Amino acid sequence: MSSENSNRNTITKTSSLRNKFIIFAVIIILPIATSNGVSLIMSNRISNIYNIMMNKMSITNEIKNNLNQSFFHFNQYILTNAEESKRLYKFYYDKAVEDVMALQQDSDIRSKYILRDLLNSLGSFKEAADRTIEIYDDRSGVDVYYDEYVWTKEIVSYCNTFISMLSDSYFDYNVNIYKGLKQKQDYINRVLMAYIIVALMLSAIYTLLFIGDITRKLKELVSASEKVVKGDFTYHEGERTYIYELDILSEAFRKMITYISKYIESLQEKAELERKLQDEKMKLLRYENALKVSQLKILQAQINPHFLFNTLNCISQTAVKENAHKTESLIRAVAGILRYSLSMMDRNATLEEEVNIVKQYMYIQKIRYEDRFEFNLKINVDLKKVVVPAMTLQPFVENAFIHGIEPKEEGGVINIEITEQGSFCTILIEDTGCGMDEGMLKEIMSDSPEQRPVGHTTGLGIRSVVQRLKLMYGRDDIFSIESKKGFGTRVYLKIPIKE
Amino acid sequence: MKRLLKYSVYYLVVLVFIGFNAALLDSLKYEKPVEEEIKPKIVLISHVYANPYWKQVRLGAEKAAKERGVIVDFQGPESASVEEGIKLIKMAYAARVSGIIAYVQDETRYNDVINKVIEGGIPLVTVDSDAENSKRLAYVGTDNVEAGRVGGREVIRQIGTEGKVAVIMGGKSVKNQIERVEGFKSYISNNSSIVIAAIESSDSYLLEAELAARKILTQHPDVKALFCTSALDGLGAAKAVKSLGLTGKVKIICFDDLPETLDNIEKGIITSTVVQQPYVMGYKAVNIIMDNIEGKTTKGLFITDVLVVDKENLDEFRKQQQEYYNENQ
Repeated sequence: MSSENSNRNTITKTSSLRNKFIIFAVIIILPIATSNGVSLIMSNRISNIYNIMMNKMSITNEIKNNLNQSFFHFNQYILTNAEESKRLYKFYYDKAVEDVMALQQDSDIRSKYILRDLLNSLGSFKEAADRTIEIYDDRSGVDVYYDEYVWTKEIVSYCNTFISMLSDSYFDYNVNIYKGLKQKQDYINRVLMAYIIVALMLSAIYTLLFIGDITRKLKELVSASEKVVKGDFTYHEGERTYIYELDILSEAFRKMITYISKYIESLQEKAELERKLQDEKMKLLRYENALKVSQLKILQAQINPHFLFNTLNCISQTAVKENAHKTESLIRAVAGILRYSLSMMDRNATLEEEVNIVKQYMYIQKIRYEDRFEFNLKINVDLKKVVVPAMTLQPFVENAFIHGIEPKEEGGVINIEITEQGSFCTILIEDTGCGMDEGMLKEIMSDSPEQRPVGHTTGLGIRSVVQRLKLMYGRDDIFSIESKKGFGTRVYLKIPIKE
Repeated sequence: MKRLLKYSVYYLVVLVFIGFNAALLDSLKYEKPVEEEIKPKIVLISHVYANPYWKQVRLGAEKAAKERGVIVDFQGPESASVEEGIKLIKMAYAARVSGIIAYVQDETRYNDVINKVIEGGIPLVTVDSDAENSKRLAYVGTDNVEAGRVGGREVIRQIGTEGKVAVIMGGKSVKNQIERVEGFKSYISNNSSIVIAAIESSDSYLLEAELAARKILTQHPDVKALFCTSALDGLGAAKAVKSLGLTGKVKIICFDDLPETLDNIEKGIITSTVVQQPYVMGYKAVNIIMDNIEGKTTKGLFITDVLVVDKENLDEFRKQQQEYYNENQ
């Protein structure tokens, strides 16, 4: 009895299994009860009618006997003159009259007419008999009372005729009623038969539908369970049955499957998340590790910084005193680089700071190599925007000196171009030095920690700088290098701009 | 849609069940017979119980009984029997009925019992056949002498005042038959020169009547008409005339209106019939009894007219008869 519109979560409760069984029971029990009741009533009626008929017949018979007894005793009296006979004649007469009166209470109209005739005839009999007795008592001869006696006898025969008519009448009446009832019973039997057949058919149809409903739903559930066992959590709830309990079951099953599949999904998500977290941690660990290594290297390289700075200050002042201004600015540049490299080692710096350091470094190198090289800086980007790990740029420039310019007798050019390309900042460090062959490139890029950078200021090799950049940005395409022996080297850095 | 179907199926099932139960309960209803009031009874004792003529007497009596609030108990011997007739009267007397209407089969033997009934205080009226010398209150019926005369007049009308006729009578000792023949004879001799060639008796049996007619027609081929004084005589005569091929040549004037008689009139075999009015007799008889019971002393002779039915007034007559039947349905 569910409606199409009914919410999936609320199943109308009207058609529970219990109700179904009740309906079924009603379909079966009602006709059977009715037919039993009706049959009982009918058979009661028939037996009642039979009883009434038998009763009436027996009373009628009794009247006949009483009348004949009465007449017999009347005869006896005439023959024997015994008072007892006279008394019995009256006694039986009274009994006969009583019986007639009793029958008059409850009879059909035809019988009533006959009863009236009979009663009157009995009266006539009494009258005639009494008159006969009267004449007889007067001691008259047979010839005198003979007529009355014959008349009495005749009346008795009439009475007997009426009695047999009465019997016939009762019989006919009751036979008619019986026939009517019989007909009615036949009709009722036919109706009952039809009724029970209809009820049986209905219950059969009902049961078939009902069982069909149940088995269909059960099959559905079974196939769904099999699917679940195989790991398929797609359960399509089929058509709704008209059985409340089954619907609840299937609904619960559906929900269970949904919940399980959701739970499994969430578990997978969590695992994924944890894996990612683990990766992040690993990355961080590696980054820190690289940092530690560089710090260690710096520490290895450093003398006592205070001592160094104080000494440099002292030299600087001495230079000023001696009017060696060039020396003084040279020392200040070296001190600046040292300070920067020490203080910024584990921090990020803007590209501007990096470029400044490169400029200072170049200043120092300019003084050292004088005209052996040319330095061009071309900037086409807002340097403050770009953040990189400190001491990123300088090692590449230094590398250009060490492997490019220094070994070349005639010197060369170092170009730095910083350009913005969308969300990236491209840094090109180019030298027209002696270039590198394959083996050297590999050596530079090699990951072996034993490979110690040679001759670098900070002790940081290209390899560790590149590694730091990769770890920081989580990208592999940050660094690329191309070199040709005798012509020079080009290093490209592709730094994402973080707004 | 589906829901609607489902509900209509439910309702249908419920309706079917209610229908069956209603049919069963309805058939269990026990119609109690109407308590009829018991009425005074008048016994009508006929000549023969299963006689169509008496059926009409009965219808008339029942009509009157209905009007006067009594019932009529129609009785009669299975076949004509004086003893049986007397016994029925005695029985009715012993049963102290309200009134008795009786056909007198044999006047002399009936007188005693009739007197006894009257002395016993029960009104008795004779019908169709009388016992003049008894103490019966009244007689309702045909004046058979007069009926014979009407028959004579009809014969003259059909064949003129000359020629030969023959008579077939129901029983030579039956009073009304004798009276009819008497009336016929006297009318013929007074009004014409017609000669009665023969008088035969059939004792009111069909076969006897046919044989009698054949006998007459072979012995007296010049007979112009057959006058039959009882119902079956006419039919017997008709059979004989038809089989002898004398249809139309020999006229048949008979008595009473049996359906076969009327059919034969329609076919032209029987010329005409003298019809009594049994319906009127029954009706009248009951009224006389009731008048007497109610204190209005009514005595004497109540003669009902006879009619002559021939081809011309046959339809009208039949219509009238039918009405009598319909009245009592």
